[in-house]
Amino acid sequence: MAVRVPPAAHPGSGAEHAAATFAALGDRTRLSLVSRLGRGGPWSISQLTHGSHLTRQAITKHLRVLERARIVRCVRSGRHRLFALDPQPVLEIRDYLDRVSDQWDQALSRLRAFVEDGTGITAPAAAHRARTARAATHPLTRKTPNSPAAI
Amino acid sequence: MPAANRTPERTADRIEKSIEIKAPISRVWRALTHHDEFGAWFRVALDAPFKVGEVAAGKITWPGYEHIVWRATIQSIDPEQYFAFTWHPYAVDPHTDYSKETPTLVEFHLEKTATGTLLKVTESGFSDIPDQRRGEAFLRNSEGWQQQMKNIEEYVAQHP
Repeated sequence: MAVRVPPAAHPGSGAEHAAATFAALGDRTRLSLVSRLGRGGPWSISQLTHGSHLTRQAITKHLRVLERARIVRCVRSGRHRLFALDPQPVLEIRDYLDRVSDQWDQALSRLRAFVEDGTGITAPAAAHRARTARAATHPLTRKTPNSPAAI
Repeated sequence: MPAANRTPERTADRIEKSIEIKAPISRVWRALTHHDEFGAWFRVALDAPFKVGEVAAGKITWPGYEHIVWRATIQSIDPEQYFAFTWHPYAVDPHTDYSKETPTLVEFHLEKTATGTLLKVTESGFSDIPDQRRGEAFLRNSEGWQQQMKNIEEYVAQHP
């Protein structure tokens, strides 16, 4: 199964990162591997294979997919390869969904203002407000949760 | 503006919002589905009416983002009840080709309330990408994904 390796971070690449992480996690075996890795570790392939109905080769294949998506990293311990969870991509998914979620909060607040104020937000007024508020609260650039107020 | 009446919720594969608007359904419906009105609050310059099965496209009217074309494929227009489109969320990088990714589905449900209209918005399908059919099937089967996501988040909370 081909899972795209996400490119280096650049503004606006949230979707690609999220898609790659979602893709890697969207499999029952890999989710259970991630769950297991989340309980301490690092783990060897033998440890991860133990108690699983899958072969060592199958586990290795799934670990590779997770490794390519940077959810799991391989650390060497002498002759052994051990695998540990890297929470960063999962944090990125969460951050990505938070941003999309914030965008909806803002869009719906604008819709409500538009409908309830009768004339609503005209395009120039929206542009003006956007200009004044943009640096701190623009939904496309902001990374931290913003105030719930509509902009 | 108070954030009251908004119930933000999200799970791994879905964002759900609802908002109470003090206006009749017909008014909210027009603001949602008339391209000019939609464009005013959504901040995109649209010059053609929405039609089921067709792509609506226009430039974003956010200052600094006017070079980006917003696109959505209208999926359903069920008057004063349901409006849906698919799109690529957060498609803000003009150098990225988002067209090969499976879009997410945005759905608007309208309900009459004592004081106006309850509008529910759902965006779903964030993990529904083409090379992941099996994963998709798994996501549909109840608790699996969400439980694991919770496990991961707990892990993350414990490992800052």
